[in-house]
Amino acid sequence: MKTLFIATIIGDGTDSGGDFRPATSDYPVGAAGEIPWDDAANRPLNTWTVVEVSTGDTAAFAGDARIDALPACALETPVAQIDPAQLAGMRAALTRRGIGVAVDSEPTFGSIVAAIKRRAGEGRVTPTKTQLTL
Amino acid sequence: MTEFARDPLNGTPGDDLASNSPWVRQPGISGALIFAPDGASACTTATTNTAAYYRSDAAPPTPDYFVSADIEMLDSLINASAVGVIGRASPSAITHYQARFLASSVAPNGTWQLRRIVNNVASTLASVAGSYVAGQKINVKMGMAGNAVSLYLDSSPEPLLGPVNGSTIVAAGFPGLLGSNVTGTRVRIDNFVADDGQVASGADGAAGVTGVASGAQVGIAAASGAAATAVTGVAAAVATNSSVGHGSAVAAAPAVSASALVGAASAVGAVAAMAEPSGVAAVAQVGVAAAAGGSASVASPAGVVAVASTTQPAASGAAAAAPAGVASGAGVGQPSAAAGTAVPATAVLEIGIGAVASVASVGAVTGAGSATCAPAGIAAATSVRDAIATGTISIPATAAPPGVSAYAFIGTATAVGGGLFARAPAGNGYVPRRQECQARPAQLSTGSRPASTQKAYR
Repeated sequence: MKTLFIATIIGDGTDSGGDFRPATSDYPVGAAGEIPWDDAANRPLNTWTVVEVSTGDTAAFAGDARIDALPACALETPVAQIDPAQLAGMRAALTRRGIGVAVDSEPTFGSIVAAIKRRAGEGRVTPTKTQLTL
Repeated sequence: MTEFARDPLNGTPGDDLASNSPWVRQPGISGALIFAPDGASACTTATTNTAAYYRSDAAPPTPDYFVSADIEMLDSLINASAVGVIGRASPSAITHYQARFLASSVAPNGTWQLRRIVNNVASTLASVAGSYVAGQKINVKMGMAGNAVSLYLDSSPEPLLGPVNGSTIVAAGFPGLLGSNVTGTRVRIDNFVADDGQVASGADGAAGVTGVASGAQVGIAAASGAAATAVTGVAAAVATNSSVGHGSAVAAAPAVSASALVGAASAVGAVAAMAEPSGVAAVAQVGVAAAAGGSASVASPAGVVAVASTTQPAASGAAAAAPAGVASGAGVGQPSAAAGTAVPATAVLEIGIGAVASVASVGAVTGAGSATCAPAGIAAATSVRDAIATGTISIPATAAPPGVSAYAFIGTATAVGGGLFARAPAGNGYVPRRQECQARPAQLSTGSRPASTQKAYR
């Protein structure tokens, strides 16, 4: 099952090894995550991103303060049925990172994730071609 | 689905890739890709810590397209080397998406990555640990559809990475290649292809992989004789061409518009009776089959893929359309292939093939569409006439069938090469002489009249 994490974006954007990337990239796992972009500043919009890890051992993430695990449950799981410890961990991570998502007002884990992604700026309307200079 | 860029990356060893059309180095890039010692692939230079980004100047028709290439790690000493493909590359800035393999000295020896470079600022959009086997070619392909970017390996219908939301870069730009940090010739890139096939799409990581396969991709599989992997969305077409690649009679896939695929298969020479896809003119296809000589034993090697390109326009053209460089090839080749004679009602193409090591080479020539591109083993041949003139094949001058202009060339070649219009016999004793005779002069007032005749020989 794919598991979700909130990971700090590391790197300075230099091409030779300094890619902006989620901290999960330091581990041999299969991971993907959108890095919403600030076109004007030409750098990531946030200091963090939601990462979906599909393969590999995530146990190594434990103790890495740059990576916060989100509850390991299906997206349709009602908030009330999420493991309390995992729910508390998520609340703490959101608070520490300043991600303002009202967990208790969301019906399911999936809607919490969607709210976090909206907060991150994911899924923004793509700029038109004329807005970009290539 | 239209293939708009293809390059086998053949060039003079050591030359910069940018010395060959259509390649352009992205601005501000100092790293270089050069042609490998084999002249049949590209590799990076020994410059370290320097990225080499090259784009083709073939403009995609839309921003949604595939770009792919075969990459090969030659040994295990490629730590920190990266190689892959780029897409939506800007002509004026270091901006593009890229799918690459970044080698590592520690297990599992590397990482597959989807990256975004915007004005030389890099981000990793997705990554997964990967490994490689030295000397094994891997086809890496990147698909771009809207904001979604995906990485595929070895024609798999499912992306290894993505689709991820790349955003930011939305203009079509150009497809291209990348290599970086590579020392020496330890990584090679080959068989660059870009097409506008339907690319997987999906927002926010949703699985949106449908209709992945492109016509070109299927064509490659068939022409190379490798089993094609069935792909969602065009499974019928893939299956058809897979079997073609192995020499079976073609079972036409209705509604398959890529007639070139069938043409490529027939270039293998294994097709005796070919059922054509509905709506596809068969003349050119049969012509190509004739070019192969109808021999089922002929293997289909790499390089024959280009036939598909040539065949494609021919298939849609008139019945007289012939493979490049061959006069009336389709018309002559068709009956010839059916007859199966040695120097038959002789197809010009068969003559050429007789002098050539493999059908694939002929296919490559045909596919290249250039009269100056010679089959392997006939380095300088620019035409069938020249092939014959090299003496690699012997054909009675009387064997010329009606309407085959190549036999006229045989006579021409003889005259030019020998200059045998006249020659003195060998040996001594033949001294050409000229006899001169003079009329008896009239008697003058004194003296006797000269003899009546004087003869002189010179």
